[in-house]
Amino acid sequence: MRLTNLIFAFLLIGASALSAQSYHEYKFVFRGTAYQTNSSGEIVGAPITDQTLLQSQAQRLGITNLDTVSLVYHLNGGPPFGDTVDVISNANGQTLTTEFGFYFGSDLSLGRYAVTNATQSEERRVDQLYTFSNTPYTYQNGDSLGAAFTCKRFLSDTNGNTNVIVEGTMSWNVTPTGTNPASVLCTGNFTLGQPMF
Amino acid sequence: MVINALRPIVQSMKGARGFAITVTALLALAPAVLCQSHYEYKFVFNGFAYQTNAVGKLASTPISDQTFLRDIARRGGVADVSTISLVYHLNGNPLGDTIDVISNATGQTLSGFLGLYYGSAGNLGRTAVTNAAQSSQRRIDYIYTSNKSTYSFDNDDSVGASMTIKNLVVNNNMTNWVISGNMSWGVQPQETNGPILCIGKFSLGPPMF
Repeated sequence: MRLTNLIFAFLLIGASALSAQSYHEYKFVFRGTAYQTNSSGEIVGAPITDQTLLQSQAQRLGITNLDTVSLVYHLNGGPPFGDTVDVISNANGQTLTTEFGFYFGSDLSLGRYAVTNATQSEERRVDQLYTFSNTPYTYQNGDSLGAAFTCKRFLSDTNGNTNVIVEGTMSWNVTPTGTNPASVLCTGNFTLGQPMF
Repeated sequence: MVINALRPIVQSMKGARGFAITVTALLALAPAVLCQSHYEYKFVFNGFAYQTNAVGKLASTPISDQTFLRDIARRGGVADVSTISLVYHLNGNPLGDTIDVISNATGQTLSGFLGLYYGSAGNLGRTAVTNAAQSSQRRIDYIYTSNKSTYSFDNDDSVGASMTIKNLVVNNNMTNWVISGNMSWGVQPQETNGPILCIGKFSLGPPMF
């Protein structure tokens, strides 16, 4: 009888492992405003979205068909520093470039602590934003250029699937480079869309 | 230390950044009828403090500038909160603006609360967006805390950021700063508290000094 129970338990565990699916990349959904000084010397805001950001990176990478790539929130995409927002290939999930690093939000050596519930299923944190390439909305820089107030929730269903909800507000700045004539300051809200990989 | 929290801080006014220098120059060149000399305004804040509660849930508590002020006053042994104010201090530090607790009688800074630094530090790749007239600016300031309270602690690195909007407004021959923004910062575990994360919106109230 004990052996039967053991076998049954193993079967359950096996079934759970087969059905359980956890994603590490979700579509990155962003709505915000890019502020810049215009030719008349006034600060003006222009709406930007995740598609604006994707397009600017695609242009830099020489990608003309935006249907082949996606901007995704990549859980632990930049170990050991934190999550990233990447441009990936829709075909195979390969990271083509990194748009943002959400780093050092819980680095105790820097005095930065995330607030987490006891079951570790919810977290709020202030992440430092890093950008790594020169585009109209990013700037290659060694220091952080902004911050995100990030809320993360990890939801498990009865099949062992873990769904992640990440949302927040973020602001970052862009130093003039190349064809960027003036500083840009971007701010907006982000959340996750459909799981990708 | 409680006493240290209210120990007078000598604030250097040296090292004003380019934006402030330019604005000062503009004011000096302005017609004599324009009056502006305020550098401290009441700091108005409304937001939430997130913390893990006794049953392990992540809970939010409303906080305001008065929450901060009362907490700092209690720790410093100031019984009458009406004698002090929490102010936004333009160029309160050579590194940038500060949020300070001051004496209402003299304007003396009694304790620093937040530092808003390095929002336009070219050597760090950080640049503010400023209009041509130098009267309007949007910037991301990094938040530093140096004194211990429920909502701050002594830390060398930044613990958050503020998306700050600054406007210099002329009204009835008076020039005044209109500053607002969103800010969030973290606090390390201390005393009986676990980590705390604060987020909210701020603006300026009446000018003080």
